[in-house]
Amino acid sequence: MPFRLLNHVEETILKRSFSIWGIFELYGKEKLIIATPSSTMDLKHGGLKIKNRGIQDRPQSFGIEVLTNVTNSEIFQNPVKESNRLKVYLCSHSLEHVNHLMESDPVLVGLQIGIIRNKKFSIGLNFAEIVLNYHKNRDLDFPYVIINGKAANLVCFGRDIMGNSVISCYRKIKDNQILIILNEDREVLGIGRSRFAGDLLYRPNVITVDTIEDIGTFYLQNENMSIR
Amino acid sequence: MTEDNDVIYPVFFPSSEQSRKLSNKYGYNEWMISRFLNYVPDPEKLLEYIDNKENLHTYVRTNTLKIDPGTLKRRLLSKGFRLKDTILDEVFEVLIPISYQPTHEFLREKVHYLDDHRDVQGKHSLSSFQVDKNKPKRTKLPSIGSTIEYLRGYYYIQDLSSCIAVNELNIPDKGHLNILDMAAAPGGKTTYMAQKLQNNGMIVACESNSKRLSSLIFNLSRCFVKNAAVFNMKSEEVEKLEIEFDRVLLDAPCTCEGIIQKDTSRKKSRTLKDLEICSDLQKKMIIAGFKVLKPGGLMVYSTCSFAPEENEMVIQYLLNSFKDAKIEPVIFGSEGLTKFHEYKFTEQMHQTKRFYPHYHDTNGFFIAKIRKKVFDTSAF
Ligand SMILES: C[S@@+](CC[C@H](N)C(=O)[O-])C[C@H]1O[C@@H](n2cnc3c(N)ncnc32)[C@H](O)[C@@H]1O
Repeated sequence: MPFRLLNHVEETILKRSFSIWGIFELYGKEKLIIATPSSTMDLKHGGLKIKNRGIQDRPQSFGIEVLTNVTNSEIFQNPVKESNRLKVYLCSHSLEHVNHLMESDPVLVGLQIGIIRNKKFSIGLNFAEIVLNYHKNRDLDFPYVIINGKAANLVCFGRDIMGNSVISCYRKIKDNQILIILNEDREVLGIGRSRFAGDLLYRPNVITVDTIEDIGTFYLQNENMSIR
Repeated sequence: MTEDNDVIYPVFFPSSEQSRKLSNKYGYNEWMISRFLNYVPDPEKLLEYIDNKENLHTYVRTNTLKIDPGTLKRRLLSKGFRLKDTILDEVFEVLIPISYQPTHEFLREKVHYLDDHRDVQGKHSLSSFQVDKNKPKRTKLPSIGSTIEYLRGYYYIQDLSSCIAVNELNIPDKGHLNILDMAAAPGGKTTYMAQKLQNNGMIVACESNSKRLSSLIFNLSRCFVKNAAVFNMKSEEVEKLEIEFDRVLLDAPCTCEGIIQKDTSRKKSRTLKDLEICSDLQKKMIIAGFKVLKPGGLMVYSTCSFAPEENEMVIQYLLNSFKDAKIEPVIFGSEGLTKFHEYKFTEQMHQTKRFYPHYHDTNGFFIAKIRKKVFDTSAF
């Protein structure tokens, strides 16, 4: 069964993350569940494997694997790569029958918010969205970077961020830190990783933040063919 | 057909001078034209209308899980899009030249210029025109499928007729209802139902085609849906889940006659056999859906087809199978057929509704609303 409730260790990991991102208050308000990988599950269900530039460990925010130059057949041959990746989902408490549904072999239950891998939680775009919703009328007390409009259009499709585009950022940012990329309206555009600490993020003419996940790349790869 | 389910379908109409002429003129299979002549009002007008790409209408439905309609409208107007209000508060028509249909290439850094030549006044009452008057006439405009607002899940590009189908489910605000979506991908209606429920209650979304799951999952995520569970299964087998639902939506797989304007290959690619296969499947699905509907619950059946075999005949089949199934009126659209060829349907069939592109500026569409009566649940 790929979906199950959290175990103790996972609860601790997630509580810590909720706390780091300033939303501990929200922990437990909605149900968190885990999808354990079965090496064939994504393939059986036609889960899309996207070849993508760059980073291998991105948190699958759309519930769809985003892999770096890894094809379906490679995953068949190397299921271990997938097997320590636990997808974390959030669902409305009101999602009645959750336990019953989880037993019926669903493809998805709720909203994927990130992954747990090697006992670490990597946030996904939906987690970032929750963080931002919570901070709507509060100071942004978590790692973030706000970029200008021109850069926003490019970052949406995976472009990394130059120092010139940074309008403001979290003061206490360290190098190599995961952060949320926002536009001037404080809307989530992606998730990045800082190359430098603090004010060095403003350094002109160099990339100071790598974009590791963005709201547009998936769309580019899998254009939504809906015509109804 | 009111009494007897053993009817012969699909109905084939013989060729005529007119059907030959029209099929040559517009490039359709002739059997389709012969049929249209028998159940589409003003069939020549329909053919002419859908032959003109300028008559394509694009609608966006606000995702109220993320933004309110007023704010979305202001943002899109300020970007230079021209919007028309519609009969649904959260749905706008976007007036964009045809060259702005979202395509892969448009998504990079391309921008386009707004042409003002499609100043179409709503000739039917489903929408009314609006534009930000402060905007210059020619504006840099991204494709409606590649704006930041789209990628952030603020809206879903969805035909007005589809939105009306969901609206007819009468989902109360924040209702804690259990809803079944029997044919879910790519998720247009699932995401709309989730926002009507304000992420409360539960949606079970079934999709049998595994290749279409990724678009469904993508859209649920983009639209921030937290109350849905997706199953890769044939919804004829939904009884296995052992859940009863307050609402059931069957947006059935169909021959898609109603969206030929958007996919012209369908002028030729469908056969009468396809129509028969679709009709058979639709009957199985509607029966399965009705069985898991709670007494008192509501089912909406819809297709993007004009064919009576996929619409009224399916509804009649349900009514013939369950005496606790009762048609309720759908508000918008043209009346459903009460007879077709030699078949007579129940009088209430006029309460189902048909949407015609040349009448309603929507896809060709059919919507039926069926209540499961409380007092008697037995099939006969
Ligand atoms: C008309 S489309 C649904 C569109 C969707 N409701 C929306 O609004 O985005 C019909 C869908 O039903 C699926 N389908 C076909 N047969 C099915 C079955 N037996 N059970 C479940 N889904 C089925 C098709 O793969 C297709 O995705």
